[in-house]
Amino acid sequence: MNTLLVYLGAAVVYIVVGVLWVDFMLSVIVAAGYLIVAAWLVPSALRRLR
Amino acid sequence: MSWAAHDLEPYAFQRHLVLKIAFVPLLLGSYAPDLMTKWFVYGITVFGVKLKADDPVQFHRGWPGFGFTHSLLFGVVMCLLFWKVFGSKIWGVSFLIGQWAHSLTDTGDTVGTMLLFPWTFHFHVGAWAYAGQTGRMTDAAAYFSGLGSMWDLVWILYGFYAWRVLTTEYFDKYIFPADRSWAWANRMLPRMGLVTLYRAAFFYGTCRWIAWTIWAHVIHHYPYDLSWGGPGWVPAAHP
Repeated sequence: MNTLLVYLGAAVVYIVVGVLWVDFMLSVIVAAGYLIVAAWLVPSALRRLR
Repeated sequence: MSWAAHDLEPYAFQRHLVLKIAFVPLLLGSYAPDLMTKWFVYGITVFGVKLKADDPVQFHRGWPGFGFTHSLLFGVVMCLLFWKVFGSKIWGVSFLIGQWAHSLTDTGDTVGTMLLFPWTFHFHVGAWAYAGQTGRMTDAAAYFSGLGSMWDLVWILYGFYAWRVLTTEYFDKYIFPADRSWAWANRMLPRMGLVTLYRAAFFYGTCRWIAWTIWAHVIHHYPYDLSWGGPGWVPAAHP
């Protein structure tokens, strides 16, 4: 459930940024990099800080 | 051309071809036909110099041009290259499935693909307008206003229906063991990083479908036209 929420949050941010700046969503490489940061690195860092 | 189907189809195939394919080459095959050509179809500016194909349709789908990348033969040649030269049958077959899926999907637009190249006949269903020659933004607006967008939606919904292929358990049980390249990548990236990468194309396809739809219809108010070959407001290209 937590994982799903993390991905949903990452998706909302990606979509908002993409709508406002379409160049952001032209590459799957950028999307993969973004997802690594937003759905894995940031949540992992936050878990360690707790 | 399709905007999100090529990101999403590999997950559907993965669900039905458990253990028989490797996901990375499947995805590569799905992207391959457009990998080296899309930028030149839409045009880019490098150091103030505009680079764009004189005839984007001919360049992208025709012959002379790079239309052969959308043929079944191209998939077979690449499959044999992976299999016989690089020694990986599973990479070859997986690439073939992805590339054939792309080539068949792109027959859905008004230009279609030279499926049986070197025969240069364009197989085309004509369900949605090919508008790559109009530039990226108009092409996006047209695609997300016509039946192509609905075709992408089918793959998104099917992906959610087959949601188990996106789980960590599925990755550990089927995706990781099927392809040694994951083990190689695992030396640099922990397992959860790999799972995130595995999910990336589905995330990308789904999110950009939503984002482009909002961009086209909420921000810019392009009209929907789900008629065959539409939308009618864009000049559709033909072979």
